[in-house]
Amino acid sequence: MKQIIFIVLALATLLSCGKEEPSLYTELKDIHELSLAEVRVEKTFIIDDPDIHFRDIGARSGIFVDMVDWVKKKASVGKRIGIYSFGTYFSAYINLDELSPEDVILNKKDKTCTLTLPAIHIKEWGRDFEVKTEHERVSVYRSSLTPQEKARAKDEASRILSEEMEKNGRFRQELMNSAQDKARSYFSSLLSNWGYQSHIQFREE
Amino acid sequence: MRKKILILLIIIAIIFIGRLIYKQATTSRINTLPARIKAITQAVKLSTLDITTEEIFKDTIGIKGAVLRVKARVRISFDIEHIPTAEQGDTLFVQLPREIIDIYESTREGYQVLDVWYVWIPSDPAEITLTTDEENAIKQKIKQKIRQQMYEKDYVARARENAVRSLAQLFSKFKDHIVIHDPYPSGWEEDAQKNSPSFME
Repeated sequence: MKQIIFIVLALATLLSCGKEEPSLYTELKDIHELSLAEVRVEKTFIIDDPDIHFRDIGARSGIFVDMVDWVKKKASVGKRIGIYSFGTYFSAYINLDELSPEDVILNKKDKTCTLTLPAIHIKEWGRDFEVKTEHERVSVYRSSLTPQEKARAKDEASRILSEEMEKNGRFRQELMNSAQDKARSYFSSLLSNWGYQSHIQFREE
Repeated sequence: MRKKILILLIIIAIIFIGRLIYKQATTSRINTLPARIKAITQAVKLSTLDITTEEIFKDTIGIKGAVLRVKARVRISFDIEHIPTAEQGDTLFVQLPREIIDIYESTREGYQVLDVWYVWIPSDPAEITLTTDEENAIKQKIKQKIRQQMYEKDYVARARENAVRSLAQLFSKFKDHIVIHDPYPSGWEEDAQKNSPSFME
């Protein structure tokens, strides 16, 4: 009898284990960053019923998951779809803490300046709070698209977007080139106002 | 006895598998379209404070009340491309401009709707949800509250202090004498109402 009670309690504990809730907090970080170029990237996500035929079971996400999707599709009446978009913000910047006195060679006699700026980094800041509804349709007998579903879908879309941008070499190069152009233009204009001819270069990462 | 234990274990296993199936069946499938990159904008901004905050917000929208957990990221920065400067002899005078507060939703677990109810019938047992427009409207209010907090908690003051230090460090690499003036140490929106005169005028 004691053994049965122990097994039941152990399994009940296992079954009741849910996702750990994050704790509330505020984190402050003092930074010294010169942001030179920024971009907003838009992502669209679709919440929809699974679209799968019997012959596709096992060919997509595994037999078990595909079977569940197929049963769900057959058991559902009507349509339930939501298409939403949101933006995520990236910036290209230099960290001024990485700019040392040796990086600025100022010749007051010749009125020239050689400036070596730190390497440019790219940072993902965050996303829009709001989502834009591109399309939403829920038939009778179907439950509404809940905020919880949309929140999960938005998180998943954000994760996919971060991976996409990490792998998109062209995007990263364009953003960095734009930042470098701006840095050159800003510092050469600043130094020119002070009577200096400048040569601006960047350190490699 | 052994037979009873075995039957109990089989029942528990069935419940466990059933729960797994139910969870799979009720999870929506999510598809995404490729990302669309908008135009890159160039601007020289000095960022001096990066804040991540996770809080519970309670608010009303129309006849509904809602409680949300929100994770936000706030950037406080300054446009130094058009910063007011003046030279007197070998001294460079710089005035710190208005702060720019950018508030973003965190890209990981950015928000969660914890509860929704009808304000006049809080004990209504029916399941109530928010439409996308209602969610967006509440989030606009949340952004305003977060913005207000930046001043109330002196984060803007801290960012401005950091900016004065950063600018002094940066310009001192080119000029021997630098004076950085901050006309609104608590924030442009806070102190500007007191009409502090600018030294540049």
